[in-house]
Amino acid sequence: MLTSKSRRTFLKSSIFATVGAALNLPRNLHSHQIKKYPDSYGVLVDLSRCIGCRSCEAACNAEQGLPVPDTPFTDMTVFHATEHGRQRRTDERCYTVVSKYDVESLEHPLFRKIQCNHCQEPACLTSCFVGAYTKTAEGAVVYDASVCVGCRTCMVACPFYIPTFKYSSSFNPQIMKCVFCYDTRLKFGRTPACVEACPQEALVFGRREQLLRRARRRIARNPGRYQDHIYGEFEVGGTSWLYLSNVPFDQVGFNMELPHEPILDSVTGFLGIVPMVLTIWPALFAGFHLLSSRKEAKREDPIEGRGPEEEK
Amino acid sequence: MEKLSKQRDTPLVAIFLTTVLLWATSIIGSVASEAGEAPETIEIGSLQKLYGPVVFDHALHMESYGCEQCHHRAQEEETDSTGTCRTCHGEEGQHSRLANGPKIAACPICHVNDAGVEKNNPGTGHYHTDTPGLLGAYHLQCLGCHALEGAITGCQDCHDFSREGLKRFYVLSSQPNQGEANAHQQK
Repeated sequence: MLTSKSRRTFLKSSIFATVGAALNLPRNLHSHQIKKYPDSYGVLVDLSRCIGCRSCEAACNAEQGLPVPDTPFTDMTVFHATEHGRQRRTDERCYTVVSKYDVESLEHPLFRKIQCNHCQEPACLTSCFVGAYTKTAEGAVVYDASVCVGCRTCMVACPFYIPTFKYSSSFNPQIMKCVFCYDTRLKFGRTPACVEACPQEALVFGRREQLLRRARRRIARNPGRYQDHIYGEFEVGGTSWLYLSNVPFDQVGFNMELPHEPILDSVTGFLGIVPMVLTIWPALFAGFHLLSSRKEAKREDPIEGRGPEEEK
Repeated sequence: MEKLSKQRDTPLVAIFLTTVLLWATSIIGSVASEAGEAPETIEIGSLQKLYGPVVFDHALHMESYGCEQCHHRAQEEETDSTGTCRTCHGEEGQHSRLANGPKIAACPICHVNDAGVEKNNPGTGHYHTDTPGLLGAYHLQCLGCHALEGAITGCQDCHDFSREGLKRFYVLSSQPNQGEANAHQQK
């Protein structure tokens, strides 16, 4: 009796300890600071200015040496071409695409340029177990194909669905995404190709901190024109690319449900439990198994003993 | 002007000259020194790279619109809360760029050629913080009004592609295919 009581108390206390630890662990891990890149560059995108001319797409294609597109960049029918009911997305042949949105409150359509937002705390970077991604001091999230194993976790991790896989060369895995013109321009503090090509100055290149100030001023100086929100200032810990819009952001395809905390914070709690589960659970369930099997053994013993007596 | 007219004659020279003239900062064409001497047409070719110059019918636009609608801010009589040049610079002449310049300022006097670049150095960026560059100023001003007025808004409505532009947008590479298609139709 004494042994079973102490076993019960041991099991009870161990379960409480496990639950307690599980509840406490995520909270302790939450205290992580979002990294700051004080002199990093960014781009401010003003959706109200974009006219959907696709000059940025053409410039990106030329700068990055991407393959010839199916139709010329003057072809505006691409805005209507949807794949599986979705707007066009970036793929291995284009690092940036412009999408068209018909907004009810406006007589004219709005256009939105999509490319890597170069997060302050990139989910692709944190998800990559071979460390193929780097966030440079200039603000670019760059990728090293030489170490990539082609697991494509970054594609799942990205909250903006940006990294794409070069399926045409699966044995030589390569992720294709906007690199902020890092090697050719950003490294030298030069304007990215898409920004330089924009005739409407819908894209402005500069230091991220300066751009945030400029965006706030633009909102303040044009009362009623813009949404009082700079998309990318806080979303998923902040992004290098920032957006101003004259209509609610969810009407132009922005995900407004993204947390202000980095994506990393959404998973550390869960991932923190994993090692604990792996160490405690086997012992715990082995204990349960032993307990139940012992009771069965005890019950079986007298029956087995009686058996031969009954036969007699 | 002379250089530009030659461009149309020989495409090879055109390629050379467009590269030479690449992002040149001067506005080609005449700028009125006084309101009374407004030019009939202005050939805007200062930024030509992917597109040829724009021949802007200044006289046509003068028929329907007041000077201040395009030559904004600097010449506005009434200051408003958003601020004009006068808000800070007071009466005419106090502005360094306008001091000895024409009464009606041409676009490049204030809109300098630095398309899409945050131009202020950290610490000093308190003024002229959101002035569009020349490329942006032309397009925002022209296209903004054209969209409102229901006028032409297509890229090639105002300026044709240069040879480099045709290449950049892959218009040139698709032309042989079109040519073949036409040839087949003729047969």
